[in-house]
Amino acid sequence: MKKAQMQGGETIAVMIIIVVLIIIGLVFGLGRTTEKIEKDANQIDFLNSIRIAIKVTNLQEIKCSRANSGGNTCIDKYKVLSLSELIKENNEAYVIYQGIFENTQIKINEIYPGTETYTIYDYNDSINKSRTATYVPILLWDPIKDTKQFGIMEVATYN
Amino acid sequence: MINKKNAQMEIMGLLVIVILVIVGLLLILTFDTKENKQKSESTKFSYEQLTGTFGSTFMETTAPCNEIMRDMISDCAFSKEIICEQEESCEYITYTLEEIANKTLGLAGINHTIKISSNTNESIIIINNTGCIEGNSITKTTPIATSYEPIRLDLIICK
Repeated sequence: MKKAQMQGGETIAVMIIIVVLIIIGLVFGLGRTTEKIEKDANQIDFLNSIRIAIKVTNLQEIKCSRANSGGNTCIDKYKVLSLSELIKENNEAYVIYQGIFENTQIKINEIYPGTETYTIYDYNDSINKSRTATYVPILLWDPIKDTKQFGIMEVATYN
Repeated sequence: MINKKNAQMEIMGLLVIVILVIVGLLLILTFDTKENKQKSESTKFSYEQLTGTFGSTFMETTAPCNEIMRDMISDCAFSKEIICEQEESCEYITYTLEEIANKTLGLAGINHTIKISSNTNESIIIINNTGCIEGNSITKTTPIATSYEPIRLDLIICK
């Protein structure tokens, strides 16, 4: 009788251990699945900012009119100022460009010489949201002085 | 005899559980490595843009004294006639290149060394940000055609 009870006890103990191991495995697996989903979402945001960055660098509204950039991305400074003003002040234009730029912020930062920053577009519903940014070196051409500044175009996707 | 067999069976059972746990841990480790690789792939675009076009964009930049950097580099290498903002071309290029590199590559966390050289002069200008261990770097070269001999700007990025 005692032997049978002991054996029964052993079997129960083994089953409990197996169940505990299975539960630990499930919890761990669920945790990793959630982590993977978050990472995938971040990657999608990053790829989105790359896609929009490529669109912006080829935008006729801001591209240099002269083909003298030596293969670099050349952006006309005054076209940038005009476009950013248009998007900021004209609601219809904002809606049109929202379809192109989606939930991003597009800025041109002067690096040398100069330190100005021009915001071409900013998705309004962007307060306190995290961002994923892509940076592209550009030549910022001043057609009046015929000079080119070293700049960085920053395209940030809001998450 | 029967007791011995029972004991052996129980040990086998425990062994099976231990093997299952080890296999599970190995699978988890394998997944971890794969996900890290995916993440490094996704940041490649921004990195390639910053490092790939840095040299060529710098070449076409205009200094405040209306000289193009390409011409100033050529002057620094061969003739040393240009004075920009009361500095000789070599000093001006060194200072400017360091400033731009710190504001772009430095801020992006890219450790780098920039070297401008020709066939006859291996070190026209060298800017060492943090130094790279030999064999642990990637070099992005921008060639510069001059009327004397070709020069190149090497952006050496630490891995």
